[in-house]
Amino acid sequence: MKAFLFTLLAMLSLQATAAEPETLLLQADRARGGDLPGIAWVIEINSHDRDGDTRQVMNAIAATGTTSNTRVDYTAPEKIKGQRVIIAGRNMWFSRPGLQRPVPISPRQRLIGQAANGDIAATNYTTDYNAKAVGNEQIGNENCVLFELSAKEKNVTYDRIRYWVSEKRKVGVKAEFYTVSGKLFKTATFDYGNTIEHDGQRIPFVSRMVILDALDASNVTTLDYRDVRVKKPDASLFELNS
Amino acid sequence: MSRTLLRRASPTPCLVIPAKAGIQNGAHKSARLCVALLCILAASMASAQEQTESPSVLQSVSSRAELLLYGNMTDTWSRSVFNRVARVADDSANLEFRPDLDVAGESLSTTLRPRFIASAQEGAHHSEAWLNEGWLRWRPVAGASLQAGREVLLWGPSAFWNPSNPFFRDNNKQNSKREIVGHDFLRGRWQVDDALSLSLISQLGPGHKPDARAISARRRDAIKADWIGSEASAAVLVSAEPGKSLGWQGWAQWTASDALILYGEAAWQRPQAYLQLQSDGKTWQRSDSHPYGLNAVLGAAYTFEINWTLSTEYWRNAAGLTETESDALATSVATLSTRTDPAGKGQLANLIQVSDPMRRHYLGLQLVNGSDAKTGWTLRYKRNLDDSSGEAFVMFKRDIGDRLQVWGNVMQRHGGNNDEYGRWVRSSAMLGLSWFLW
Repeated sequence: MKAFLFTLLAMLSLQATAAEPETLLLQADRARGGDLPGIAWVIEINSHDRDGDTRQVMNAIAATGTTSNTRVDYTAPEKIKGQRVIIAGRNMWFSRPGLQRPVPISPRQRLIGQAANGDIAATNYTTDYNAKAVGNEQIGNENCVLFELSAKEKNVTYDRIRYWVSEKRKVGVKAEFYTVSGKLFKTATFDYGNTIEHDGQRIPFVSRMVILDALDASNVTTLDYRDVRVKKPDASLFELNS
Repeated sequence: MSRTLLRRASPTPCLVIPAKAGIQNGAHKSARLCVALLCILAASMASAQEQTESPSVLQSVSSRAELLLYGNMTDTWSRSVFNRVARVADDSANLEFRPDLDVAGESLSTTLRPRFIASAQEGAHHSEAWLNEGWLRWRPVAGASLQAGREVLLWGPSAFWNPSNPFFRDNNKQNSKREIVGHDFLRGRWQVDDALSLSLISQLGPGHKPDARAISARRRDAIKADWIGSEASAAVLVSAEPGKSLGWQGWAQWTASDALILYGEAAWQRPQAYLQLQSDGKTWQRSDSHPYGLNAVLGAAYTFEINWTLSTEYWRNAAGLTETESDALATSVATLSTRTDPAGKGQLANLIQVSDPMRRHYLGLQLVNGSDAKTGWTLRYKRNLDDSSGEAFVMFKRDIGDRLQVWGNVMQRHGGNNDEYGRWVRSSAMLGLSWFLW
């Protein structure tokens, strides 16, 4: 009997250990908008490259679940105010005031720009990627689990990601994004100065993402997230003629 | 018709006869509509606040405004016989003010897009104000909405032609600096689930004034179903004017790969107000009795790694002229061009715009650089495959800081005397400066 109980406990213990990385990744997703009924936030993007500095501000609404829809409304600067990007799965549309209707654009354009359209959307690595914990590493003073993420479907922004998640804070602190050909594309670090409430829990939430271009070190893009609200958006918000 | 004016710089010949009294009347109607919408909105917001006492009733207010200063010119082929009976409006300088206001609440939202223009040409001045778009939307429950007002209701993935839309012919992709005039609509929408929505749409009439780029601003009702999947999307609709035959329209697009989108638009319908060759083989008359035909666009858009997108489209236009009809048209034009009586001139002017487009088979090519580039450009070419005439269009814009933009476009056509793009308008150009005020 003792042997049976010991074996059972050992098996349960092993199962708990095996499930832990997945739970950790899920918690890290929540801190970046994933695994929530929906989220709305304001994003300010400041980019610095050889041509100078640019600043963009946008309101983003994301619905996660069976369909991952995102709507981004640009509010600044004046020249792009009123522009809109709608992402529905692998479909993307772009519209601007003079155009008077949305134009379909290809997923390749998710990768274009210092902050790809995919960076603006909520992160759902648990459902979008096959995750494998490949080790532990120190990032700064924090002990992190390193995940190798490979895309399950073609509708994600990046094909492969190396993702460091803090064991203590349960948030992603660093990511490396790779192209389909296996080249390092971008490196990003994350700060979590926001807090959201969901299911009675207070969850740390991403407040800043700093993206470094792997090919040109002078290209630095900072995304600041503010006014974060957890709310399932009405599906009609993603309607093309809304 | 003693004199016919062509809307300047429009790549597609479109006949407009400005009626000053009508414009003023339209402007007054627009102003009244604008005030009425604002009153409805204010009353609705006040009512909603009283009922719910919720501080979040007014979710967002946003506005933007653009001031455009531009000049334009249009030129016709000097050999064209239509120069005898119609002329293109002279080159002009224009100042346009385009403010947009969007107010969104929990259950009510509205958009107002009034427009103001002042034009100068040949020492004459013209100014005009109108409400181009203005509507009020009520969402009584989640997923359902009712919307009334003036709007430009466009859809479909194609870059050149727009057969899936029974309300507007132009998709505004060639020259987006020239806005399409909104029509008055009443529409209800029900979001069935995350992917499917149903709409009932009634076009009640023209908005500010009939737009030559619209198919028809007469009363027309439609039922539309939209579906958005994870890799594809589509819409089908059935539409009809009261008491007339049904038209079936639809579009679909499929994201075939990261870089490739395949799409199509189609319509199975009777052409409206089609200029038809009569049984005598000489005279032409507009009628709605043309048989059902298939208008269809098949297209593909490929995005290169440098962020340029190449679109290719083929259009079958069932309402276009056959070879026989085209020959008969050339004969009619030649005959009428020798007449000097008003009736003959009027008939000749009537043949300038036979149908848009004129023939049955077309090819379109478009190359666009990235939308996020400081310098943007678009190259377009459409070719009439039946008569080998064509039209090239180049558009560019350059951002100067965050508030200023220089832009311009040039259109040039080629073709023979009786070919679609060689028969009257030869070229057009616009050069402008946009100042994004806020």
